Amino acid sequence: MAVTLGIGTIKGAWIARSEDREHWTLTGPHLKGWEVTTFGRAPNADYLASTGSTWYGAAIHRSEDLESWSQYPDPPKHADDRKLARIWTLATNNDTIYGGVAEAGLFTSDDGGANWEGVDGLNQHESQPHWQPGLGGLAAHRILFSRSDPSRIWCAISAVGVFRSDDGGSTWHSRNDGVTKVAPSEDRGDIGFCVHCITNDPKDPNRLWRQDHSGVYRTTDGGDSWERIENGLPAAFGFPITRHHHSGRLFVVPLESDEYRMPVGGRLEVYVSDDDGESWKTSSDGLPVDTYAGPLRDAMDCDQLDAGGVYMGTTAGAVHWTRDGGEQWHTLPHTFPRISSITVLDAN
Amino acid sequence: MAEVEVTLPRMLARLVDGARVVTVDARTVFGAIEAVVELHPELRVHIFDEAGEVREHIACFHNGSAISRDHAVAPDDRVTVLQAVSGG
Repeated sequence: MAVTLGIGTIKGAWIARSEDREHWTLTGPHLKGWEVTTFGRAPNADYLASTGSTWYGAAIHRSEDLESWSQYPDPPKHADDRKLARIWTLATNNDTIYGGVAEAGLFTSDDGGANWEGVDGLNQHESQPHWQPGLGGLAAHRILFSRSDPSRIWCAISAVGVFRSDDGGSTWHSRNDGVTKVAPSEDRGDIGFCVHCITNDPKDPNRLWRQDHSGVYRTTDGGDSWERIENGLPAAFGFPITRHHHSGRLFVVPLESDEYRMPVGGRLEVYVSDDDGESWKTSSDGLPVDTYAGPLRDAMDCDQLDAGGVYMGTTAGAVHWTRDGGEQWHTLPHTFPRISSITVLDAN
Repeated sequence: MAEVEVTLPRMLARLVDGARVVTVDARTVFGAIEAVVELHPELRVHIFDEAGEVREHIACFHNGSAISRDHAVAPDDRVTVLQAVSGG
């Protein structure tokens, strides 16, 4: 079982490769000096990486071999005066790449990432003038698709909420009922939800799970209604949530409250659920104790191989992984800069 | 038109062919930077913002002095695009 990981940090990217998910070789830094905010794969199998910089803005790069990178001249650009602060996610569905960016917007590319068009139904949504940023900015950071219903797409925007399209991206509607708002506003009941990450069952267009600023939730009706699923968790705050689709196991990393945002009691723990979030248990053997850094929203990914490999990077620059669905965790013997993104680029 | 040397910050030079000094023909400081961007379109998004202005955290110097972008250049002048001392 061979895996290639992209490790995106605030100072560049590293590529980790393993034939057995036990022994790893590392190359990097690639795109040295640039924050690598996320990775993707183009329809033609090109590798994609987005970069950001306090000084120089955001851009998208492509590579055929993960060694040589070239930058596309034109990243996504809003039709109005909203600026491109960061590219948060690059998600490919069939022949189209979807890019989620800050200031919050969704864009598509049908030529591998060279040219982008705005998804007007979301970018010009009637609620958009009322969108407000969270601490991480006003970010469209996760896009999900349904294998069984190609017309259904979800986009998570913080601190706005989850939007769903049932017509392939033409029109979008807020889908956050049941979630606690973090930005109370009497006049706008449909926005003000600080979604941190979402994952779904790609075979079922109705089932999603959500790590929100306000807690952990699930929906069984495509997002029409959400319910809390926090039984067994030591804290409800956190950033990533991921799912091993073969087994259905869910993974979250609880952090102590939105004020502190640290592993509870200085112990980095991953919690798993084998009953769709009904209950959670720790599955953290091998993770370090006395650790006060956790993963950001894009810094946890699952390889989807039969024996589920899960990979996470922390803001302290550590990479932890499991090759048995979380029964035992391991740590790369490297300290990276603050990790923004961990992405499984190849798994077979 | 005057032939001038434009010096790029290291991070931007590495995005193109690695050369930190590019020689171009221009009439003004802004024209010199525009000429470099014409040669290397990947640099436009990094030097200019969406409104076409030089990004907030980039400074442009002419013969070692900070001047306006419309300042005229003479043969053998030096234009330096500099990463501002900000951030961490």
